[in-house]
Amino acid sequence: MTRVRSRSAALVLATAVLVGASFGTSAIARAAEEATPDKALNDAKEAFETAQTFFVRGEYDTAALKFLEAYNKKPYPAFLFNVAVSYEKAKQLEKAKEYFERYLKDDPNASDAAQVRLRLDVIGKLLATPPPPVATPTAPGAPPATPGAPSAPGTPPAPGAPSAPGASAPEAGASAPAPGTPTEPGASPAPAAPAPPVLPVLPDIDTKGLVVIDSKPQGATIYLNDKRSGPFGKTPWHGSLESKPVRLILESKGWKAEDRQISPRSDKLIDIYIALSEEHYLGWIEISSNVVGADLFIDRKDIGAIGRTPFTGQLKPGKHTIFLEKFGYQPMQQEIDVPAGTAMQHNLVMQKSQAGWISITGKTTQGGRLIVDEKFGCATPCRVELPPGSHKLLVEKKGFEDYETTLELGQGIETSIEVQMSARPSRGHAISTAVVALVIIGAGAYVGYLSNQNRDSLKSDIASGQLIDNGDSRFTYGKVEAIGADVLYGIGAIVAATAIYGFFEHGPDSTGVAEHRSITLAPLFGPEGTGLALGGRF
Amino acid sequence: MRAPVKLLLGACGAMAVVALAAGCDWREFDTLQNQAPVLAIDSPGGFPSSSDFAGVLLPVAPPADGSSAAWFLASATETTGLALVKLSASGGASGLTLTGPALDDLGGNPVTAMAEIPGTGTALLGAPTFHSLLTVELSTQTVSQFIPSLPLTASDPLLGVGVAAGNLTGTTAPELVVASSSLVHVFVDGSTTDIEPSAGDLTSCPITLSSGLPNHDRSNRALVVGNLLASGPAIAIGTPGAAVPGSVSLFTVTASAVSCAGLLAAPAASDSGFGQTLALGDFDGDGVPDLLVGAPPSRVYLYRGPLAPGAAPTATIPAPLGSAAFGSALAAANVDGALGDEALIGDPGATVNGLTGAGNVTIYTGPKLATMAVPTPVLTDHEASAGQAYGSAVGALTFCGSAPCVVPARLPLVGAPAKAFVYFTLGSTDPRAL
Repeated sequence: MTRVRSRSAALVLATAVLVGASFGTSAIARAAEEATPDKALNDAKEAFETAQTFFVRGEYDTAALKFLEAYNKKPYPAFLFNVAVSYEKAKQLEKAKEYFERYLKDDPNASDAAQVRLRLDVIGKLLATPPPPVATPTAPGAPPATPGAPSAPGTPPAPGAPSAPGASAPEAGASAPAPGTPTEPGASPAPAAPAPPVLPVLPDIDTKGLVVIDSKPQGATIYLNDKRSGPFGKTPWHGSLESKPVRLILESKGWKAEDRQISPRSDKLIDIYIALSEEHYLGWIEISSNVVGADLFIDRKDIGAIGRTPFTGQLKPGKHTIFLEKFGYQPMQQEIDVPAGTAMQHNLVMQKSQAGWISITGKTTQGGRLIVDEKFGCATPCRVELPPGSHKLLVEKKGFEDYETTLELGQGIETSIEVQMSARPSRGHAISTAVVALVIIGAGAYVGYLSNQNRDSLKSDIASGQLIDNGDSRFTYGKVEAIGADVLYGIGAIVAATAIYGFFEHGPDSTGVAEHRSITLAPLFGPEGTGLALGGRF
Repeated sequence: MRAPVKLLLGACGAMAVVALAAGCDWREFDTLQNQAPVLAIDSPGGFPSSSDFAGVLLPVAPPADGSSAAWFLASATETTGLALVKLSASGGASGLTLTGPALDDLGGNPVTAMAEIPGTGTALLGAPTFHSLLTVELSTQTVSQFIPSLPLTASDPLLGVGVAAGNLTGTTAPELVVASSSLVHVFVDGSTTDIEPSAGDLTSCPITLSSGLPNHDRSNRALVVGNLLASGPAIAIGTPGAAVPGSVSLFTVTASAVSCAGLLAAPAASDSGFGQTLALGDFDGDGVPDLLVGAPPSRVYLYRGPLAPGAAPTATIPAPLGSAAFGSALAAANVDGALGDEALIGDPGATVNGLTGAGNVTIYTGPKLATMAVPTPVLTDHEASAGQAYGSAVGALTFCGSAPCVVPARLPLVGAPAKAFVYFTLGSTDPRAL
C-alpha cells in the first residue's frame, strides 16, 4: 500500500512539476489546441462521420462509399478496414475481401493484422462455396429482412440479432429457405436435396475508430497515462486505441509539455492537434547512470520515486537535489542546478554497496522488531543493511517466543531469514495456578496453625500434670492436622512450582530458515542506454 | 513481565519455601502421645464387645524375662470376652483376645471373677452364671477348664462368683479359694478336691448372698486371701445384705478344714453394701496387711491389720459429694512410692463435671487414711462422658520398666466398661523408658 501511495505521490509531483510549470508560465507562452490546419483531414473526418451515420442505419453500401471517400481524403488504413466491414455487412464479400486485403497492404504491421488474415480465410471459403439450390422461392411481396430481425440459417446475423446455429455468410441474395417458411399453395415439395456442406462462420465485426495525434512542432514524444510506462510514439501519430479514457502526454525538448484526456470510440475519429508552446522558463534534464532502473527522487524522498534511470523531463529552474537508490548500491545524491530554457545532462555513477543485508520475512513477524547486536534494527518484516561480519540477531514480538541467531554476513550478500514466530503460552493459566497455590498454602498454614495449637495445648497439659490420656482427641486431631498441613504444603508447593514453571514456560522455539543471496552486477545493454543490472544468485 | 505478576510470583515462591521450611512434624504427636500421663487402652481386635471390655480387671505379674513391662487381664461383664493386655517398657499397649474351647464352652457367659495364682504364672477365673471355673496360662495364653471334684448342685449356685488364691496352709502350692453364692470351697495344695466350712462355721460366719441383691452385686463377690489375722493367713469374704447390714467373714484354712475365724459386721445399720468389695493393702506401712472394706454407696472402711474380729474399723472414708456408688471397686497400691499403700476407691456412678454416671476413682494416700486426710487426686476420664462408668474396676498394676525388676512401680489401673486406663505419672517418677 505504501508503495502505491508513493507512486501516486510521485505521479502527483511529476504532474505538479509539469503542470505547475505550465501554469506558472502561462503568461509567457501557452499551448494552443488549434484547429488542425490539414484540410484533407477535416474532409476525411466529415466523410467518416457521414459514413458512420449510414452504417448505423444499416445502409452499408453507402457507408462503404463514404468510408472510401474519407480514405481518398486521408489515406488512413483504418478507413479501408471500415470500407471492408461495411461491405461485409452489406454481404458483398468479394468487395469486403478486396478492402481487407488493401488494409493489410497499407498497414501490414497493424495490431489486428492476424485477425484480419483469419477473417480473409473465412471469406475466401465462403466465396468458394457454391450457393445452395433454391428449393422454394419466397412469396412475392415478402418483406425484406430488417436489421434486428432473426436471420435465416446461413445468413449472417443482423447487428444485434442472435446468430442461428451453423449460421454462415453465403453470397448476398442466396438465402436458403427458413424452416417453416410457407410455400406457394399447390407447390409440390422439392425432392430431398443432399445435405449442404458445413460453412465457416464469420464472427461479428465492427468498424474502427481512429485517433489522430499531431503537434506543432511534430516529433513530440507521446506518453499514454504515465511517463513511467515509457514513450508511446511520436507525433504525428494515427491509429486506433481501446475504447476507454486515456491521458495523453506530449513532451518535446524545449517545448512545454502538454497533456489531454481523450475517450476513444469505435465510431469516432478523434483528431488531436496540439501546438506546443515554447517554454523558456523550465529546464530540461536528462539523468543517466551506470545503473539502469535506479529509483530517482527529486528534492523529496518521502513522496516516492518519480522515475527511474535513464530519466528525462522538465524541471523548474534552480537548485535541486537528485537522489538515486538501487538495492545493492550505495544510495547517492547530487545537487544539480537547472537553468531555465536549457537542457542539461547528468550522469550519476553509483557505487556498489560495501555492506550486506539481512532480510526478516514471514507473516508471523508482522508487528515485531529486529534487534541487531542489541540495537534496534527495524520493524519486521524488514531489511537492514549491515557491515560485513558476525551479527547477533534477535527477532522479538509480544506474545511470541524470541527468535535468536548469530550469522556471519558477507559483503554483497543478502541473507533472508524466513522466521516462523511461535506463540508464547498464556500467563493467565500460570497466574490462576499461582493463586490456587497461595490458597492451598494458606489453607495449609491455617491447618498447621490448628495443629500447633493442639500440640502446644497438649504440651502444656502434660507439663502441668494434667492427666490426659493417649486417647485424647487432640492427639488425633493434631496429628491429622499436621499431616494435612504438610500435605497441603506439599500440594501447594507442587502447584506453586507448576505456577512458577508456567511463568517461565516457553512454547516451541521460534524458527528461522536463512537463505543467502549473492548480489552481483552484470553489464546491461538496452534500447535506452547501457548500465549494470543487479542480480541475485540463490 | 509486569510488576503484579512478579509480585505474585515472588509471593508464591516465598510462601512455598516458608511452608516447606515450617512444615508440621506429625511425629511430635506420636512423641507427645507416648508421653501422655495416662494410657487409655481399647479392646483388642477380636474382642466380642468394644463397649464391654474392662468391667473386670486383674493385674498380674509381668513375665520375668522382661519381654513386657506389665500384664493384666480384662474381662467383659455381659458376655464371654477375655483379653490379656501387655504393656511395653515405653508404655505402649498391645492387647490379645484370648480364645479357646474352654472359653467357647461358656456359651457366652462372662468371666466375672479373676485371681492370680501366685508364683504359677496362671490365673483362676470364675464364670458363675455358667457354674464354671477356668485357668489361664499367661505365658501361652492357654485357657483351660478347672474341673473340681464337687457336685454342682442347686444348693451351691453361682460357683465362681468369687475367686482367690494364696498360701493359706504353708504347703508348696497355693490354695485356690472359690466362692459360690452360699459356700466357699478351698482347694488345698493344688488338689481338685475341695474342703468347705462346716455348717456350724457357716452359721458363725454367714456367707449366703441374699437373693434380693441386684444381679450386679451377685455376679462378683469380694474374696481375698492374706495374712489378715495375727495367727496367720485367712480368707475374707464379703457378704452384702439386700436390706440388712452386710458383713465380712473370716476363715482360716488347714489341710483338712475351713473354719470360721470371726466376723466383721457393718458399723452402721445402713451399710447394706458392707463387704461388697474388699482390698488388702499395707496402708499404714507397718508391714501388716490392712483390710479395706467397701460399703457402697456410702462409705469405705479401713481395718488395720492384724484384724481383730468384731473390732471397729480404723477409719471410715465417707463418700464425697457427687458420688453414687462410692466403694464399688477397691484396690490398694503404693502409687507415690512413699510409705504405705494408697487406697483406690472407684465410684462408677459419680457425677463428673455435671456428667451423671461418668464415674471417678479417688486415691487416698495411705498414712493419712487413718486421719481422714483430704483425698488427692481424683481420677476421671479426661474426656469423660455421661454413663461412662469410669471406675467400675480398679487395680494396682505392677510395672517393670526394665529386667530384672527390682522395684516395680505400682500403677493405678482403672476400668471402665469400654476402656482401661493406666496412670504413669502419679508417682514420683514416670516408670516408662521414654
